[in-house]
Amino acid sequence: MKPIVEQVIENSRSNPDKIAVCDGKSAISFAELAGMILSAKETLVSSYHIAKGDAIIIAADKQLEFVGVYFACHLIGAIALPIAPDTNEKRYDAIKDRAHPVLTVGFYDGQIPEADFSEFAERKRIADHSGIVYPSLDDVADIMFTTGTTGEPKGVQLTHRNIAAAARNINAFVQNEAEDVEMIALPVSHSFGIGRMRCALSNGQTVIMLGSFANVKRFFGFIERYHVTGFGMVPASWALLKRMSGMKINEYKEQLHYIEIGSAPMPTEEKQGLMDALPNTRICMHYGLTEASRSAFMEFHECADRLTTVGKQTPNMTISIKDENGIDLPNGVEGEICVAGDAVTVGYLNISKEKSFWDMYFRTGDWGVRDDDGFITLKSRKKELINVGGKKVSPMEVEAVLMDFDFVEDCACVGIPDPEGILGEVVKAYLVTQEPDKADWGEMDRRIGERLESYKHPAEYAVVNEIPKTSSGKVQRLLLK
Amino acid sequence: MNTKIFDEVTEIIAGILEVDKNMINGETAIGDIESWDSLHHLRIISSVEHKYGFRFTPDILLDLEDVEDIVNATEEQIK
Repeated sequence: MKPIVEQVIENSRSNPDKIAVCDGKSAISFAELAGMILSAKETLVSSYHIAKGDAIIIAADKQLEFVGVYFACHLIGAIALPIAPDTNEKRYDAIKDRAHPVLTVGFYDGQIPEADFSEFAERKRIADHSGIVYPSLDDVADIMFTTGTTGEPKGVQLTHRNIAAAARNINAFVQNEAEDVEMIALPVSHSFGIGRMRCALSNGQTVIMLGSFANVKRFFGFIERYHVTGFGMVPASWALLKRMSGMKINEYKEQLHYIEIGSAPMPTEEKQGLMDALPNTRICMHYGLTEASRSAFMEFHECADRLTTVGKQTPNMTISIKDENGIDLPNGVEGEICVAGDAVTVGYLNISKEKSFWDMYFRTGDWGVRDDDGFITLKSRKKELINVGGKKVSPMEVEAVLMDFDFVEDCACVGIPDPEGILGEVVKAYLVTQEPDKADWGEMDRRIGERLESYKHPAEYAVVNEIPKTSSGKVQRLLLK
Repeated sequence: MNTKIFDEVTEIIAGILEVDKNMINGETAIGDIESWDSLHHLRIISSVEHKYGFRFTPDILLDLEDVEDIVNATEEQIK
């Protein structure tokens, strides 16, 4: 196994003129991408004194330079922290506190050195790769910040081995080939989107970057123009595509070789609808976490009679259903889904592994059961995160903002099915207040304003007499659902 | 383009995307602003439909590329 950056640079030797990345405005070949990575490395080292082990925050924007800077970090042995360009200040500061970055690219910071993407636009071909020293597979490559149950970001450390193993496993299941053209419309600040980018580029595929699924006309325009043959999406993307275009995707049933779906549960009828629209496409849905890559997979057509499950363990990954003492449970018995394999994180940043691992098995916090055929059914989410269209919302983060309003005496937030049937779940807030007229949705939304990203804003409010709690005072959110 | 509808629609978009209204003009394309992702787009469409009391059909939605398209499609619906 080789680090992803090494695989990408190797692809530049075997296929120098093939388009590696296109953002719809300009495109670069694999040779130019390798040149961009090597030039960006020089800039990071000479202008910003970046060395092995240094952490760099990068605005994960879908532009060619992001790809260059991201892999340049890897080449130096530095640690990439790709975060959303619109990350709010509180989260940004929390990430900074934990990771102690020495440079930020694409953000205004004011405290640590800042670089602009324009400094990394150089893309001259560099033919001589003989002096390149690649990072060790056991060095940390990325730290991905997830939303923990406390609402505080947790840094998931992923080594070069982790991300290379993940790409190998996913490509083995999805069966995408070097000739395939992948469109990335998912955000590359999340593990799913950036993971798809690594899968495709390490595989020698052309990657087409699309801003988002929102512009459905452009989405289909890009499929036509670039002859896209595969992409990743979350169930909300499919809901959007259907709402905006009916079954237009059926027009590409011969062209689309694969789709990877993940990040949130998908209703069975939606799966069936997609299968009907794309009878010849490998529609692969994963169950996974940033910490454990894609842990289980299923292909809809192959598993048409098992669509209510999350499939079987991914190639090279091992799933064990364990009890609360870490003991393996037999098939048919419900327990915690635990995952082992070389794509599993080496641990959280600055947090002991003790609570998140049973030996080599990462504890997902999800409850499930495996049947005798190896299919795993997800039973419940032990963690109380709310899954808004694939984006995880911590109820505690929302509650902390609501509790700041003087008329809110107590509150709790839970996920409820999206009444529109689009996002999977939306946030519902239960408030204890003597001034119920202030619990109006419009009024509350205005008060919350920019304190929370809009997908974290509650979609519904209810006034209650009290919030159910355990004897020790822990909020019993599940009782409110 | 109807100025009143343009003002109202841009207000909805700016509010949902949490950006200054002045950042939005008729040529601002869907997805041009960082926060204009699929989730926000669905909220924008739902809010416009809710405000004017109609529902766009998929063939109209598929043709929307920028703010001017949304305004014109809205104007067409409420004629």
